[in-house]
Amino acid sequence: YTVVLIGDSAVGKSNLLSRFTRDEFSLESKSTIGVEFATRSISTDDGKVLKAQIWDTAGQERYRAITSAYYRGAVGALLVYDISKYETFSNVERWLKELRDHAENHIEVMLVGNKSDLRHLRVVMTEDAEAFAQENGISFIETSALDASNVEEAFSSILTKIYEKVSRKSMNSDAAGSGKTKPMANNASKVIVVDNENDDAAPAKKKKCC
Amino acid sequence: MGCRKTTNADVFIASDDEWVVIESDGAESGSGMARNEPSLLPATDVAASRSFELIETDEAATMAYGFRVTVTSDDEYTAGARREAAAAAAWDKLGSAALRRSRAVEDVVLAWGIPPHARPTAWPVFSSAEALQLVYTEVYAKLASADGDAWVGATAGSADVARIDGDRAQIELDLRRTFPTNEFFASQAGLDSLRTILVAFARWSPIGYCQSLNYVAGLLRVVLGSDELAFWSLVHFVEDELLGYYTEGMSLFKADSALIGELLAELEPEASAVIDALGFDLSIVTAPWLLCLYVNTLPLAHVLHVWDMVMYSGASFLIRVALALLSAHAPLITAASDDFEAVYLALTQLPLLPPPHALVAAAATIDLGPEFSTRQREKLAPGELPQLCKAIAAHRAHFAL
Repeated sequence: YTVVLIGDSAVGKSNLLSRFTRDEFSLESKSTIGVEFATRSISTDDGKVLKAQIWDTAGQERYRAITSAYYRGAVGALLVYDISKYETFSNVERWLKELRDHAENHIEVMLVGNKSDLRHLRVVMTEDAEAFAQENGISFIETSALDASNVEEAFSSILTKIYEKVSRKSMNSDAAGSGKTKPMANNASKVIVVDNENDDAAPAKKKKCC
Repeated sequence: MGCRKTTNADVFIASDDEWVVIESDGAESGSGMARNEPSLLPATDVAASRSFELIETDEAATMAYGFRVTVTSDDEYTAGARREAAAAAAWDKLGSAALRRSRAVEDVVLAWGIPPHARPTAWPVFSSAEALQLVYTEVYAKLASADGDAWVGATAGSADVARIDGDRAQIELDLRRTFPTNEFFASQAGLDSLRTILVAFARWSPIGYCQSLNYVAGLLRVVLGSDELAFWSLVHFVEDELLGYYTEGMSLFKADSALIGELLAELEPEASAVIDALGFDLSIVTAPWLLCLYVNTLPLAHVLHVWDMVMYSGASFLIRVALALLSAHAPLITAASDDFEAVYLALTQLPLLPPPHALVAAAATIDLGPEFSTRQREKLAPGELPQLCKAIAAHRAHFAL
């Protein structure tokens, strides 16, 4: 599954990715130039392995010349803002439009309020973001890449949602596969779903689910 | 036609011979040292030691331009120090001829790079940043002053105030993310200096601030030791050499990236076929390579030698370096076959990176073909580049005396 991380500059997209894929966080991280890529596999409750390809993107508007190409293949998007910077939340609407313009219609979107550890600096209320997400039919979570809270949950929740969507789709349609996933056997619980682009990806990168 | 590896100039071997000559010229123990000189370090050692970061280890560390550069072995340290001394000797031997383009100067820059003490003079002369500074004398002081916004508004007719404000906000976000472990940028003076250069640039150029320029300006500043020279060098890159890279749409960058893909097909057909089959978009790696001029991609010593060449011979050297890097990793790409991630890791971690002078030598032997700039232009919308040039000339005219 291909998931993109989008949102304003310096909201913590790269740190969310490194926390999720390598359990690392850096206060001195670099600005992302263009796009960066990492993978991780997670197991669902019923024992399936979902492999995610995650694309991290530069936040500055000018870089959409490069990054928007990566929305197209994505089945999920984490739209990140910073709970301590109101502007990054008010720009969420523009990012949604960007997705509507460039991404697939059925892309699964999750709104992510990052830096939840900065309690004393909070300017975006949880209820406001929740209401916004509801209005726009997208899911919502607050995370902290710094203290790792909800990072695992955010990614596994969007991956699970995508998985459910895809398997529903492939059960409904008889022959036509959904393109990204391999045709599944009847007994879905035994099927390992991986992205078909790298079935045998580097085992060193795979991590056990916590 | 097109792209091929030339074999007539084996610069690396030639330069090592020259090194022996220089050492035995000047030093009493020259011949003994020459025998022990490791010709090429294992590529993996060099790759493992690459770091712009402050890493607390037992490894030997050496400071360069405020960067703490870690080395993993005594051999590597000695080799680096010797090369630096040899570069200085070769450069000083050129005397006053060093600042004019000539075959002899080119040979030295190619084989040794420009020694650190000469860079603050040589870079602005070769890049023509010095010429810009002379033409627009006193402009930098105005741009860098506290009321620079107002001055630009008055001088350039109308300043795009909203754009400059947006740039200022983005610059603020990037300041602390620019070489935070560098001695200079860890200080308030360093942050102020970088802010001043970048804000002055946002005021000066209609292109405005683009992320990655923070790294380019940062390295220029610590190497040149002057805000003003760093500023004019930045102007030179963004508005002359790499015009169309940092603009809205980044069209020339995209064109060059596509061209690198085409040249790779001629240079390394097998690796190129793997990349095509995977749908691996080369701009994933060429964006940080080209837009940051290899800062954050290559170790400091590599970046400096590459920049020496770029200053001396122009920005097309960046394309050559990209092809040399791809070529060096072609075996890994071919071996990766249908594994997207393996290709990505090979081209972002660059485990087969040659030492600085070997990379530069390899890049120099890559022939871009006589029709290179035509092919580059063909990838742009008709008239796009001339139009950009015209716009730049028009905005500069406001600042001329």
